[in-house]
Amino acid sequence: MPTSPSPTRRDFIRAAAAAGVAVAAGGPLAALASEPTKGASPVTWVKSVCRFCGTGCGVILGVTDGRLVALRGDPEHPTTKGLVCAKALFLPKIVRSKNRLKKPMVRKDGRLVPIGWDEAMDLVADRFASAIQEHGPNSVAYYGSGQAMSEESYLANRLFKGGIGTNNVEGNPRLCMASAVGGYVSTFGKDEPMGSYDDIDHAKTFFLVGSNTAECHPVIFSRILSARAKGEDVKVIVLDPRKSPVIGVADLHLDPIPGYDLTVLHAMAYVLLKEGKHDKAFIEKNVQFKAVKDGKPVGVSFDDYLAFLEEHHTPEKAEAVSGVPAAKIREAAMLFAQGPTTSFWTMGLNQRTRGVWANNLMHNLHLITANIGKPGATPFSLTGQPNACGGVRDTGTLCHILPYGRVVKKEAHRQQIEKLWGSKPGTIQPKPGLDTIEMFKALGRDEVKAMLVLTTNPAHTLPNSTPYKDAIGKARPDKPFVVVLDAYPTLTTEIADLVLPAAMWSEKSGVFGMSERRYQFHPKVQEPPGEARSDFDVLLDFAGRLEERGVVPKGYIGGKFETTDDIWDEMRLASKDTPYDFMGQTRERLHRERGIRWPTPTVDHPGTARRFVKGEDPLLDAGPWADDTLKPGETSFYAAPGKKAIVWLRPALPPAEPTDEEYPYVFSTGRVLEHWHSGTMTMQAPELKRAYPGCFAEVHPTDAKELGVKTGDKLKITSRRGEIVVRARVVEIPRPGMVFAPMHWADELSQVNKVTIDAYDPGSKQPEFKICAVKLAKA
Amino acid sequence: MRTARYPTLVLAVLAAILCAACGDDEPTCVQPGPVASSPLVIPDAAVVDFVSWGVLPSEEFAEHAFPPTMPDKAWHQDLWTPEACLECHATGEEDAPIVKHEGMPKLWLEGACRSCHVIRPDED
Ligand code: SF4
Repeated sequence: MPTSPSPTRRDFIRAAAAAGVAVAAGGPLAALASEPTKGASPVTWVKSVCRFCGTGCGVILGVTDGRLVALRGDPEHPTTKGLVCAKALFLPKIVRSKNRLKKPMVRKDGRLVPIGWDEAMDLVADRFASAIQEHGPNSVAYYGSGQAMSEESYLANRLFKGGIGTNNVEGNPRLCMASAVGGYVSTFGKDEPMGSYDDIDHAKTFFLVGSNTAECHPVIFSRILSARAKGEDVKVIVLDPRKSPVIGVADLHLDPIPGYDLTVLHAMAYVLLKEGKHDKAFIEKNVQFKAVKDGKPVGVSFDDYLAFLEEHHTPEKAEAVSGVPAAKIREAAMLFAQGPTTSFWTMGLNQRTRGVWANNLMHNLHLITANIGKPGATPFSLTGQPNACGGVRDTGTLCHILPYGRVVKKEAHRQQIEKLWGSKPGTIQPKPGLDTIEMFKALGRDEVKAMLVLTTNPAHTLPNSTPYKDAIGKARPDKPFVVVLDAYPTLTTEIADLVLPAAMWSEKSGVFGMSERRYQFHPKVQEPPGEARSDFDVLLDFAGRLEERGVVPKGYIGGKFETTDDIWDEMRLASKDTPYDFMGQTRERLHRERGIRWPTPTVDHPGTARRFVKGEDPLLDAGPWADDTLKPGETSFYAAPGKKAIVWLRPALPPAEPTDEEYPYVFSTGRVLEHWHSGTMTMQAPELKRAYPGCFAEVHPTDAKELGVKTGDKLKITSRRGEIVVRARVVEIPRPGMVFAPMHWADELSQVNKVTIDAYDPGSKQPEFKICAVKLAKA
Repeated sequence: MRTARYPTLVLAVLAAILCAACGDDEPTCVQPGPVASSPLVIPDAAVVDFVSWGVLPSEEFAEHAFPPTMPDKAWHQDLWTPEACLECHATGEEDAPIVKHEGMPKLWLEGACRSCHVIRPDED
């Protein structure tokens, strides 16, 4: 593809206006177009969205002469209100880093060497087509990302499931959000939170569970700080084995032994019931109780639930298992009951072999106390990527699902989507494809013959990463072909067979869907560097070449779409008459407005702050779930069986790899504020890089004394799978017996995922990054 | 509240040194300030003012595009609430530059300062 010259500023303004973006044209943004300092070129400000986490902060991009020169929080944004964090502020440096990938590169004799786009795309198409022709459609796979735009993920899903005919379609949200999905679906019938960030302004109690909100979702944390500053009656409970920075605002901290917190949540429910803090009328009308017997869910009664809690999960019994004092559990329950309560959780609950169950137990607390569907009362799982929700979960770009709440197992769902996509009936397979871990295992066994990895870095981020790195990159006869599309060099691009340079978010237009069901448009404001192309463009090209080779029906994708705008209307149609209905989110509205929260069934609907609530959720007024018997403010969990959400009686089973004599410490991984995931983007900003120049491990002073380790010493962390050597930080942050290290560094000694375990939740298939057994030694 | 207080002259000199040390990263949204005895006051929201946000010919990015970084003082490590930061940065105590955040909404002073201002570990 030829390199486009940089547009002039005038070109840019014309293009932005044509796209309908909010170039300073009245209102507060007009002030941003004021004259600059004498001698300086003026900056044009354009509404957009942050590239990083699922908080989805509204930003305004400063552009001069077709270059991104600044970024600021958008004060007009309805939920993030102008707040942003350092990662976003340094995005101009990150995007314009000289390390960007600019040319396609192919591996020859072990080295990556330049190749032209046309030749590269032919190679990709040939390798996929021959695999499909010789070994069938399940010999190929797609591994995508919660960082691709919604239109890109939707297009990839459409191509692989409805064109090629394989459900081997996965993405990195499997590693971070799958258990939250499992929790929402098994409790409420459909995915995604019912509340929104609006609830932060109304909550009196915040329950932060397994969430270092201060560093991983800084703007949510700032919103909590702001809410707390407004009234002393706002309380914060933290449940986390680590004293992360959120402890600074906690009124109560419960620090369970890692992996033994499920009993604490049950015990809180027990206290709530015993103290009469439950809402009998709400439960009667909206809740059912279920347990699993002989592998099957069975209905049980409220009394059965109480008896189950009494037998296994009184505060004293929970204390014996979790190490959290019974008195603190009681106090937490009573604070929770004060409400309205908003719970936020993230990877501490999700990245677990009992992640779905942990999510269920969070919902239990909200359901039994009716702390749901009211201002300030909501159970809310925060997401780590900008588009895990809208892009992957909602578009159904995982191996078992189809767009907007459909599943591959249901014939009616497959038929609806085949019809919409124009696939030959029967193309979409009824059996789920390979989930992430199994997909990379199959790659290692050479059963997957060709894989497309898009905007993600599995060689760095998969747990127990060594065998999966080998699967991707180890030379062997008839090695599977792995093509990676990325904007930056990563551990995965280092070992891939073909590397394609990708455009970054500000170099392409599309939609991100963040944690509160808000879909937000981000415009293209600059050209990508070198020969980089958008993922959407590359997917279209790939589809066309597969059509030419006869492994995808001619005209299935080719000729139907040219831009992300073109595919959006089909996506809206796919959502029609589903609980995700966003028919009212036209492209024109998204260009103009600062995101819209679905359901949005009509163009005049403003979006929904609270689902399942009469008077707020439009799907209770018209359509298949309309219910005129409800009064405003009343709840109907219309997506759940019998319209009643499920309180689950889940056993509190231990983690997959408890500590033992040989491996006596718990290893846990996470993040720091300044870096994001595998660090390939944030390390491009010198200020962010030098804030944390290298990996470190937090060790409790008690353990450090036993080990003879001081801050700054090298610490060897060894699990049954691998070892790393990093600098120790002796701090009273982790619980004694626990060691914590962030995940951002790629050097051989700092790759924390060489140590983590790839055991996964049997329901969500999400691995247990947060807990494995290790031994420690001064290195 | 930290108790150390310095005569204004010493403060001014130290503040000037501090400014110089900050080099490129030194913000325009902070300025050395005198020790104040008045209670903490968070400035009201101001109209967004990006007047000076041009791109100088010698620069790659807009003026003031990046938030100032913080020297690696021990107390900066654990400051996660604005009250803790503003103890000094609203008063000038400990020679701290006074935060102005001109043109920024009030909410930006209610959030976590560490969200935007990252530490420079190589300087203290
Ligand atoms: S909190 Fe998340 S979305 Fe908001 S600016 Fe920071 S990284 Fe971006």
